[in-house]
Formats: sequence, C-alpha cells, structure tokens
Amino acid sequence: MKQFIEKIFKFLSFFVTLSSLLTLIIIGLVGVENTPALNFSDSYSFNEKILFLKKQSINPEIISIGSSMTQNNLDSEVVLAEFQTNKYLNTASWGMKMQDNFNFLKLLYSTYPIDKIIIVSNVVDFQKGNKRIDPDYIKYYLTKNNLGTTYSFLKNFNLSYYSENLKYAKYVRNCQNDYEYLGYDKSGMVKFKNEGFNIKDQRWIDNHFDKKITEIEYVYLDSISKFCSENNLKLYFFQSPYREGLYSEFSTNEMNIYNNHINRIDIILNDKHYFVDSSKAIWNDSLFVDGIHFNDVGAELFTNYCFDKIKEAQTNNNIYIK
Amino acid sequence: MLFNSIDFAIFLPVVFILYWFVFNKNLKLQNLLIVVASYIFYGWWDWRFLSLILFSTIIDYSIGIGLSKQENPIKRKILLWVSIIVNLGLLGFFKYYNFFLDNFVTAFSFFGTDINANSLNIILPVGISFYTFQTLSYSIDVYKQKLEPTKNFIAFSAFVSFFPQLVAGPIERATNLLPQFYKKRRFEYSEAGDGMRQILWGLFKKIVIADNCAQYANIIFNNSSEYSGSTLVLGAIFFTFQIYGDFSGYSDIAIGTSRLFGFKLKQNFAFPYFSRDIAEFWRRWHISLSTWFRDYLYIPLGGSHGKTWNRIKNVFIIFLVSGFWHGANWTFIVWGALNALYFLPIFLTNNNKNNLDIVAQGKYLPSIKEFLSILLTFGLTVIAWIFFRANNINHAFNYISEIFSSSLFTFPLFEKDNLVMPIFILLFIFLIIEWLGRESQYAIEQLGIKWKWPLRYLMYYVIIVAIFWFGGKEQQFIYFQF
Repeated sequence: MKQFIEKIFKFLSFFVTLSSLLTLIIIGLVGVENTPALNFSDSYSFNEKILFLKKQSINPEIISIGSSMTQNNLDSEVVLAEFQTNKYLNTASWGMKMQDNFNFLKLLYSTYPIDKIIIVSNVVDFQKGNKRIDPDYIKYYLTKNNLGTTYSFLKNFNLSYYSENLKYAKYVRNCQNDYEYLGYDKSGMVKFKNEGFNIKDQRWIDNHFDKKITEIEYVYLDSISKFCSENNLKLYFFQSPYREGLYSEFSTNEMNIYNNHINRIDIILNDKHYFVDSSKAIWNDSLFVDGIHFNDVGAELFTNYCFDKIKEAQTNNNIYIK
Repeated sequence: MLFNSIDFAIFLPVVFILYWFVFNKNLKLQNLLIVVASYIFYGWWDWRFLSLILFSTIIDYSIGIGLSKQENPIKRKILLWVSIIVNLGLLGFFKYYNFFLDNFVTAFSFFGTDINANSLNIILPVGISFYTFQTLSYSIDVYKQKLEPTKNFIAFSAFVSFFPQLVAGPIERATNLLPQFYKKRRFEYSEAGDGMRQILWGLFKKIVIADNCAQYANIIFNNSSEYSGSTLVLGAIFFTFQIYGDFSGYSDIAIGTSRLFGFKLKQNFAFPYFSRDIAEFWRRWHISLSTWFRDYLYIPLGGSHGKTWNRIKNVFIIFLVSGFWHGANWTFIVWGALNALYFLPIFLTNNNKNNLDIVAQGKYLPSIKEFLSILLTFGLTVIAWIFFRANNINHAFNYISEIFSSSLFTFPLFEKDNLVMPIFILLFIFLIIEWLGRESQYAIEQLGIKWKWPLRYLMYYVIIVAIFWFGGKEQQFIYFQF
C-alpha cells in the first residue's frame, strides 16, 4: 500500500511540477497580458467578454446583451449620455442567439442590480448555432468565488483550448482593422474604425439569408420579453439595419422573409417593450464595414437614431415605435 | 456522478483512503462504506431514485431468505415470480410505459378507434436496466440452488449498488461478485497499479476517442438529409467508434476502479471490432449482457437444441429482447433483428463456434482471409449501428438508402472539415494500440510494462495530456440512457 501511494504521489508530483513549469515558461514567453480568457463557453468572444466584465468595478444597472450586432453597433457614449449614468456595460459577444441571450440574461440578472436591458439584433441572431455555456462557472468567476471558480476551472479544463488561443487572444486584442477585433471601450463596445479597415468582399455582400431562421429563437425572444416584464426590467429592442446597397438588392423572397421576421418581433414585443425598427430608414454604405456591422460613425448615428425614435414616441405617449 | 468528472476525481481518492486506512480492520464497515459511497455516487445524479435501488435490494434480499426457508416447489416458484415481476415491473414502468402506450394507441387508431390516452412524463432512472438484471440474476440463481442466499444485508446492498458498475455495468453475477463481499480484501500492489492503468485507458477511450467521434457523428446524424452517401458512411463509422469508446471505456474504468478496492469484475469487451464473424462479435461485445441473456433466457428457452424452427425462434427472441433492453424504440428492435439475421446463416450451418481463439494470435498481422473477414464483420456492424443511432425507423432507412445512392462515390464533405483529419489519425493510432493489445484484458495492459520507468511514465503522460487536450466537456455516457 505504502509503495502504491508513494508511486502515485511521485507520478503526479512529477506531472504537476513539469506542467506548472511549462505553463510558467509559456506565460513568461507570451506575457501575462496576452494569456487567453478562461473557457466559460465554446465561444472565444464570449469568454473574452466575461474576462472584461470581471475587470470592471462598476455594478451595472443598464446592460446590453446580444451578438456582435449589440457589441459593434450600439455606441456606448450615446447610451451613457442618454441615460446619464456610468453604470452601463455592453455584455454582448459574437454569435449570441436569442436562446443564449435568455440564459445569459438570467445569469446577469442574478449577479447585477439591473433595471434596463438593450438588445440590438438582426436576422442572424435567430439562426441556428447556440453556444455551450457553463453558467455556474461564470457566476463563480464574476462574484469572485475562488473555490467555485477553481472547481469549475478544473471541471472545464481543456488543454487544446488554451493552446489554440495563446496566439489568438493577443491577435483579437490588437487587430484593429479586422472583424475579429475585441478591443473594448470602457463599457464593452467594440468600435470598428472606418479608416484603414480591412473590408472583405464576401462579408460586404453577405445578406445572411443562406441560413434558415429557427422558430425556437422567437420562443426565446418571447421568454426574454416575459422575463423582463415579470422582473420589472425595461427592455429596449433595436432592429439593426442592412447597408443600403445590400437592402435595395433583396429579392422578393428575401424581402418577404425579412418583413416576416420584423412582424414576428413586432407581435412578440407588442406594446410591452420599446421596439425600434430602423430597417426602413436609409443607411448609407459608407457607415458599414460589411452588410450589417456599422463602423464607428455608423454605430453612433444608429444609436442616436434609436434613442431619438424612443423620445419621439414618448412625446406621443407611445412606447411602441415603428 | 460521471467517471469523467472532477467530482469523481475527488470522490475516488476520498473513498479509497477511507476504505484502506480507516475501515480496513473491519469487513462490515468496509462494506458499509461501499454502500454509503455508492448511494452518494448515485444520488449525485438524482437522490430520489435511491429509493428504487433500496426497494429492489430489500425485495430480492427478502426473496432470497424466503427461498432458503421454503421447500415447497410451488411456493418457491411464486417467490421467484414475485422477484421477476417486481424487477421487470419497475423496468417496464420507467422504461417502457410510454412506448407501449403510444404503440397501443397507434394500433387502435389503425383500426379506426381513437383512444385518448395520456402519456406520462417519466424520467428514466439511470442504470435501472443494469441493477435490476443484477438483482434478478441473484434471485434466479438462489431459486436454482446455484447460490446460497445471503443473510448479510449490508453485503447484499453493496453487491446491488457497488458504485463502479452500478449505472452502466458490467452486469455482475451474484455468483462472482457477492462472495467477494464476504471475504476480507487484501490490498495488492500489482492489482491496484493495473487498475489505475485500466482506468487511464478507459478515460482515453471515452474522452479522446468517443467524445471526439461523437461531435462528428452527431452533426452528420442530426442533419443526415444534407449529406452525401460517402459522408453518411463516415458518420456511421464515427458512431461505431463512439459507442465502442464510450461503453468499453466505461467498463474499463469500472473494472479498474473495482480493482483498486480489491474486487475482480469480469471482462465486458474483448476487442469486438477485430471479430471475424458476427458470432465472434457477440462473444466479445457487452459480454456481461450477452451471457446474461444466454443463461437466463436462451438456455431456458431450449437454446440450440430442438428442431430448426425452434432454434431460429430462440435466436430471434434473444436478439430482439437484447435490442429492446437497450431502449423503448423500434430502432433498437430492428437493430436486434438485423443482428439475428446476420447471425442465423452462421448458426444454422454450425459455423458459430469457428472463431473461438484470438485473431492472429502471436502474430503481428492477420492473414488476408482474416483481414477480409474482419472487414466484412465490421461493415455489417456499422450498418446495424445506423439503426441503433437513428432517431426513428424512417430516419434509419433514409440514411441507409442515401448511402447506397450514387452520392456514395463523391468526396465526403461536411462542416468543421479541417478538424476531421486529426480524428482519423487518432483513430488509426487507437486501432494500432488495440490491435497490439488484443491478447490482453485491455489494450495497454502489457504495453510498456518492461520499459524503464522514465519511458513508461512518458507513455502515461502522453495519454494524460491527450485526455486533458480533449477534456473539459463532461459528456454523458451513452449507456446511461439504457
């Protein structure tokens, strides 16, 4: 027995020492600031956003959730000015669908004293491809529960994730002219600078109608709507537009799908929440970096447009805007 | 609790230390510790269903005692039937209630009568198919006087709930496992070391092989209408390795863990994909279930004796029941029937015991004939697994008909294409290791045993790094649902 325990101990000590040394050497080589975010989910962008949230000292009362539509198109400065607060965080990350948003919203609501939610969305948020998120891990991490975080870290430990993202983390934090850029402003927005941005032809002409809209995502939008109503949260839902050149070339079928999509949202949010549909306004191509993502100028204009529409509606004593 | 979880990584050493250092002087306390640990292990998933295990334990323990006191053959038979009805009743209710109800309603609506029957929202208790068969075998063996009934309730509880094999087998016979709870266990260094190696290999099979194959098998099976025949073949092959890695990996971890506590469980998988015919495959796949059905169903039905019609009937019964045991879905029944059809020609020509030895024993490579036989058997198995994995019968038939279309001759393509090649390389390495180790109980049993320790450690480290490389997803074991 003694021999067995000794051997196991020797074997594991050797392994732990060796791997710790190797890890320290790698961190030393890439720099602490370039180490990847922990793997809370299978989306690097989401993990990077959680890392960002952890570093924030404010307790947000207003949060925006969603995909890159929210992350890139919702201008933080405009939001802060509109609500005259600094208690705002943009928690959005790439590819979040309505189902992901609903699950994440519940988690954020149990962590922060939130009273307002903003979602910027387009059809892409209603297509297939949900995330695999570990909510307990995020909760432990954001609430600084070290024991829980260590447990979840070990539970989710995946060597290939850290190895693959060693270079990638550094890249996304610095690639200002690329779509994968994840350099956040103080609230968590990612601004795409108009100057020198590397626009890709394929993305410029992609209207995202090649993938089907999934019915279940509307059910989750409805769940978000109900969750907000039940918990007295004000929900602002902004429909993000296409660039003019792309929108004007929609086929009849695509236009039908798009209009039907807007109508579905219209029915779900009907009279209960703020809904701004910006798609019928004309949005010049120069405001975009691809078919649906604004550059910094476009994001500011779009966010101002949405809040102006809300003010306009409030003047008319109507919270529902189209 | 999953074997591939951090919870189990904490649980196992704690129980191990308590078992060998705190309770080692007292056999009763050691057995009690196993019961408590097993109930914690099971309750981690859902504590409510512990009552079912306890109920099953009490019933079969009492029936065993009753059988020992009863000499009247009719009363003995009644006691046996109580055990059968209670165990199969539990299994039937939790596993098959909705299946029978749905089919009953469909059958009546076919004849124009609409029945308004509400299906129940029943949760299938994990491992129920395994522990009910284990306790049932105890009652049958006691009834047949092959086994002395136990009067030691703690030992019997430990036998029923023994955590390494509670939720997914191997299904142990009381004649093998129960007596081990009566005897004082001695710690044996070689057994424990070997157990650790077997656990390591089981984790590798589950996390590296099965979970990786599962990613691709799931994508292809869930979107099968979008893929070409050649891609569907790949999907079926991925599932073939997924289910093997998943289930045999579980068995390896279970057997290895038992060895750490001084118990010897029977081998459950003996390299089935190197079988030369389907009869050999069934001697090597899920051995504890196949032998259970052989001893408690096939032989009582008459086995291979009697007229040809009877023999065919018995073969079909055993394969259909085996299929149905896996789940309440027609796909499993067709899977069983297909295997019966594969088996019958060999059986009726008395060739079912041709390949009792290990293929190419003592050689590095098989002969061309052996290689082709292995390939053919593997191919037949892959087709059968399509039924096992498909959502329903239509899905399975559509899947197979697309395979046998002209698109079979196109290049296989699907999402995440760039990641497929590493999986093929992994599978190739895995198959080589399994082939080289096919004469052992598990593939790496003898691998590196005579190497110097730095080299041997290096091999273990490579396996551990591979596990950590692909780990972190805590995928369920497929057989938990059965």
